[in-house]
This record gives sequence, structure tokens and C-alpha cells, in this order.
Amino acid sequence: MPTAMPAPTPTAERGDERGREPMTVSPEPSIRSRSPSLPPGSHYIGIDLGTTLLRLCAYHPDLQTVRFVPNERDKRKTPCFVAFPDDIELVESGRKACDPVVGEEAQRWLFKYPKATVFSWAQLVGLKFDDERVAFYQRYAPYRLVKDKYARVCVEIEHDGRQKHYRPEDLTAILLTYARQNAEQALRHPITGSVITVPAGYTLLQRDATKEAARQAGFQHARLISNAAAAAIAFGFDRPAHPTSVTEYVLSFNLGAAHIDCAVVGIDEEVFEVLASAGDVGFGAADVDVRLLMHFVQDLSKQSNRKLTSLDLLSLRFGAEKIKKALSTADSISHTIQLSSGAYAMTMTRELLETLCADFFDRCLVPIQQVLVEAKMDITKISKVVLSGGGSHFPKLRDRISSLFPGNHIYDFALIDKHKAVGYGAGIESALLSGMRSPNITNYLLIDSLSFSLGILDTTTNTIKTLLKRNTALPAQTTVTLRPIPPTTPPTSTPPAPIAVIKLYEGDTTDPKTCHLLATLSTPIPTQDKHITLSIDVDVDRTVLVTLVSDETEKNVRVTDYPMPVFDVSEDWERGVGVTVVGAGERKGQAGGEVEGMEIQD
Amino acid sequence: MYTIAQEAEINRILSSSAPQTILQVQRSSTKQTLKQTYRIKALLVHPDKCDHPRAEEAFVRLRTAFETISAGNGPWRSGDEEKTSGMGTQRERERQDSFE
Repeated sequence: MPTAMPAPTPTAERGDERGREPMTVSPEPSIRSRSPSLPPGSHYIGIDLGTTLLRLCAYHPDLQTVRFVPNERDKRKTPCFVAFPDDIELVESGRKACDPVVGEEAQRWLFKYPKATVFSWAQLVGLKFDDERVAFYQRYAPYRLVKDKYARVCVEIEHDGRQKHYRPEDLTAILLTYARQNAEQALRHPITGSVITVPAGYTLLQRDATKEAARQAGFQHARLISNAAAAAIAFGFDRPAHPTSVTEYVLSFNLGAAHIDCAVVGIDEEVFEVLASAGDVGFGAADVDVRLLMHFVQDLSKQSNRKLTSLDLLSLRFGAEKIKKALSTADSISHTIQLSSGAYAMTMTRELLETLCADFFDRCLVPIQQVLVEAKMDITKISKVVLSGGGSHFPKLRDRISSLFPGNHIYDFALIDKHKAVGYGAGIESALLSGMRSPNITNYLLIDSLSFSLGILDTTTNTIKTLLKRNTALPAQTTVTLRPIPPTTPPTSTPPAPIAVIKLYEGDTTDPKTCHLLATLSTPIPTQDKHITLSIDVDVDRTVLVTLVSDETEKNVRVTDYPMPVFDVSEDWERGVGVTVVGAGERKGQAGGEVEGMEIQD
Repeated sequence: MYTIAQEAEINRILSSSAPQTILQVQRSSTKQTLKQTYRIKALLVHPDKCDHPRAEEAFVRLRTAFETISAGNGPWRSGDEEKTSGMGTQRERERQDSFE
């Protein structure tokens, strides 16, 4: 059984070796030789890593297509639960007290050990503790969230009479370890690579944290693709024969429990290109549960003076989820929820649910408008709208979306179940990365794009100068020339420092306060009027490599934003000088080639 | 693993500089042909399809060339180059022939 595994070391004990000191500066040329793909013959697996459910999809050599991998209970989906029960029953069965249990096995401990059973943590990955989404999450979670030494959020688990802190990515690592062991057992070969679906709105930090979880779980390579892109691949697999050499534009909309993903994907035979993507992380179908829960609490307070314990809230929350699902097909439902003060019976109608969630549907449509604008795509050019994810079952949402597009454009999957579209997409991508060739799977190519712009701080204006715009196709490279700016303050006794400090940001605005600092880098400068050349290189796995060239020195820094932003500056960096951007960013591909007269006909 | 064809294509892209040389399209090409050529070449040199150490570089070049040509409408430069309607320049014709 793949449920027994060593618990990862909690953060507190790991802190020292991961302090501020380890600078990610590798001098050797190997930093350039990046091979994101594993050696030929390596096996990849597709993982639909949802907030509430996990699905595994892999290539089946006998059937020559992708299939979902059952877990040890022969189910195709595993609930995302990790529990650390301190139970005599487990000790008797030979399990060590500190070993986590995963999936349905963990779900059954929820009401017995609510403080040691974690669920729906995916939305917490890579968040700062003071993020407003953390406070909102805490209101409905039975366990405590705390701050770690990097001010990031951690889950506090009561365990063995002691409190232990787990970062959300540690919990993801436990889940992914389970997934890998499960798949290895079912497929009978080692698995070293994974294709994991994440929300499109994940920042580089959240992606790095997920990759770290995959690394801890034993995957040597993890390719992260967005849920919307995965659903689009599944659409390409499922769609009826399409006239070749006509590009088809689809809008892929995925509403998960705690995210909205939206992307415009151009499908040109076997090339899938994400033209624009947008998302809302931390907001999704689970917010409907919370609204229902608040409605129940209000209703109960009217009924009688019933006291609600935290366990009651948990029962109401999971009851709300059931009612929500039922109302996607039924017009009304009667349901009874067992509470500590007795049974609570209620009747809920779809109309009331839709009234409670009126603004929810409005917010769902925002990313759709956003991607259409960003992809510069006219609504009439979209041939199909692909809906996936549990939340897309709301009849109201379907109506709202179809009213946006003229004619009926909502695509209903023919061959595959639309619940499983994301998993299928991940499975197909994993088969392709494994190098599988089969008559049933076309040799697709997914060209993903940047989720957020990358830029550096221009110290003359104190704004961020964007170097790589969001939705730039990956891999992407750019080069820019910088000029060091001497400090404006009158010269003091200290001579100006011979280093320039460059701050790299991720975000869509020009205000450094609203963007996320990825790295602070420095480079020695001979004199202040000498220019520096800065190159940013983002590969298919979104690894950011920065090259700084000034005078005779060249320096490569691999920016990994994990677990802290990169601080590569030397001791006297405070005396370093800022930079300004001279000349527009130049794409590396244009090696000064002349463009001859050319006409392109439509 | 990469095939000889993939390696040859990468070397060809990296040694070319003008966008239409990289994409091997002519001035008479339609958007259709341009997209199709780009797609076929992308499938050859994209780092997911080819683990050649310079695949990424070649792909970025290919992509930039494709974007440059797609963004422009009509001739960008008229002048000294020999102009023929519909068939591309003499040099391009020769190059085209050598590929066939």
C-alpha cells in the first residue's frame, strides 16, 4: 500500500540550511546547458492536481492511448486530503505515529481529528501570511495557519502532543508521493517525470513551490501546465475532424474549487498555442459552498438558539458542497445535516442558490473578457467554448457564458467525460513528453505563454520597465541595455560603489509596490557611464536565467524564487547604484537581419 | 534524442538572419503558407520535441521571425532588391529550387 511514507521534515528544522545565504549564483557553464526533458525512455505521468480531487492519467502501452490510473481503492479520483492521525488503530496496524495518511483514508479522519486533517490547501501554495486570501481561508478551516520565517503561510498540525508546521508545498509533496507510488504500482515501472496542472494565475513563486513539491515527491522533472491549456489539449483529442490548415480558436474556461482559469488557445492542426490566459486564484466553486454555509448559519440562528461548534461548521460546509452539486441537475433538494444539537433539515432551490451567488457569476466572467482583449480576439472568431472543471456544471453559468457568444458555441465532449478533460490533457502531454508515439495520439505541441510580465526597476522613475510582456510565447529571450544611475544625493565621504543593483519583478503594473520582487542582482561596473547588458531567458519550464554583462565580466544567475527571492548582492550593496533602461528591449532572435520587401496576403 | 533533420534545421535557422530566410517563405506567400511553414518548423525544433542543446535558441529565432512577418502588412522595404511580383527575388527562387 502506498499510503505509508516518511513525513517531510517540517520547516522549522529545515530553516538554517535554507537561510538567506545560499545565493543561487552558479559560475559554471552548466547553468546554460539546460535539458528540461529527461533522457529518452523516461516515463511521465499526467497529474490533474485539483483543489479537492487528484486524478492520474498515463499512457497505456497495450491500449496505445491514455487511461486514468486507479488508486489502491480502485477509484479514478483521490480526494486531496492529508491527515496526521494519532490513532491507536493505526499504531496497531504497524504504522508509525508520524506517518501521514492520504486520500480517502485521510478523509475518514476528518471529523475525529479535524485539527490534523488538511484539505483544500492548494490555494495556499506560495502565499504570504498577510495575504487577504489567507485570512479568508482561515475563517472556514479547522486548523490554524501560521507564519514561517519567510513570512509565508504554514499549516499548524497538532501531532503527538506537539505542534508541527507544514508548508502547503510539503502537503502537496505528500500527496504527489502517494500519486507516484500509486502509479508505479499500477503501471509496474518507475516514473521520473510528471505533467502537473496548476491554475493559470499561479505566479512564478507558486509554480516554483509546486515544482519543489514534485521534486520532494521523487519526480526529476515536473512540467506545469494550466488547467485551461490541459482542457484545450483534451478538446483537440476529442474534437471531430477539422478542416486542415484552418486555425481554430477556442476559449477554454475551467472553474475549479478554488480557481478560475481562462485561456484563448489557437489550434493549428497539431500546434496548440496559448495566446492569452488569465485567472483568479483563490476564488472558485468553493466560494459557492461558503455562501450556502453562511446562509445556513443565518437560517439556524433564526430557527432557535442553536450553538454551532467548529465541527458543525465543517458538517455544514461539506453538506453545502453536496447540495450545490445536486442543484446542478435538480431544481430543488431536501437535505438533512447532522449537527451536534440535532438534525438540521432544509430545502434548497436552485433559484435561491442563484440569488445567493449573483455576483459570483459576474466575477466568473471577468477573466473571459480579459483574455479576449489580451488575445486581440474578436468574439466571432472563437469557434468553440470548452468548459471544464466541477464549477462549470452550474446551469446559470453555462447560460451566462453562452449568451456572451453568438450562436451555441459551448462544446460538449463526445469521447471523454468533461470532468476528466483536464486530467486527459495532462495525460496526453505526459505521453508526448515521454516520447510515446501511437496512432491514437497525434504528436501535439503545446506552446505555453508567460502568465505575468517580467520587468526591472528603473530607478530614475521608480517604475517597472516591462521586458517580457505577459502572454509572450515560451521559451522567450530578451536583451536590454542598462545605464547605471549615480545617486542624486551630494557626494559624501564614501566613494560611489562600483556595483549596479538590478531588481527583477514579476507583475502586470508599473508600480513596484503591486508587483512581486523575484530577485535583486548586482554586477560590478568599472565606471558609471559604462553600459550593462541584461538578458532574460525563460525556458519552457519557466526557469528564469538572467545574464549580466558589464565590461569584461559576465555573470549568469538562475532565478529561482524559492524559498526566498534571490539576493545576489555583495556586502556593500546598499551603496550600489540603480539603473535606467536605455533603448527598447530587443528580442534575441533578431540578429540584425534585414527584412526584404514582402507582402503577406490574407 | 534528435534526428539529423532536426539538427540540420536548427543549424540552418541559427545561421540565417532575415525573418523570411529563417521561415523559408517568399514575398508572395499567403498567411496560410506562413502559418503552415511555421507550424512544421516549430514541431521540428521546439525544445519539447528536440533535446538539441540549441533547440531553444533556434525556436526563439523562429518564433521572432514568424511574429515579425505576421505583424507587418505589405512591403517594409522597397528599393535596391530585385523585385518580381509573385515569385520572390531571384535569390529566393534559387534557394527555393535548391530545396526542391
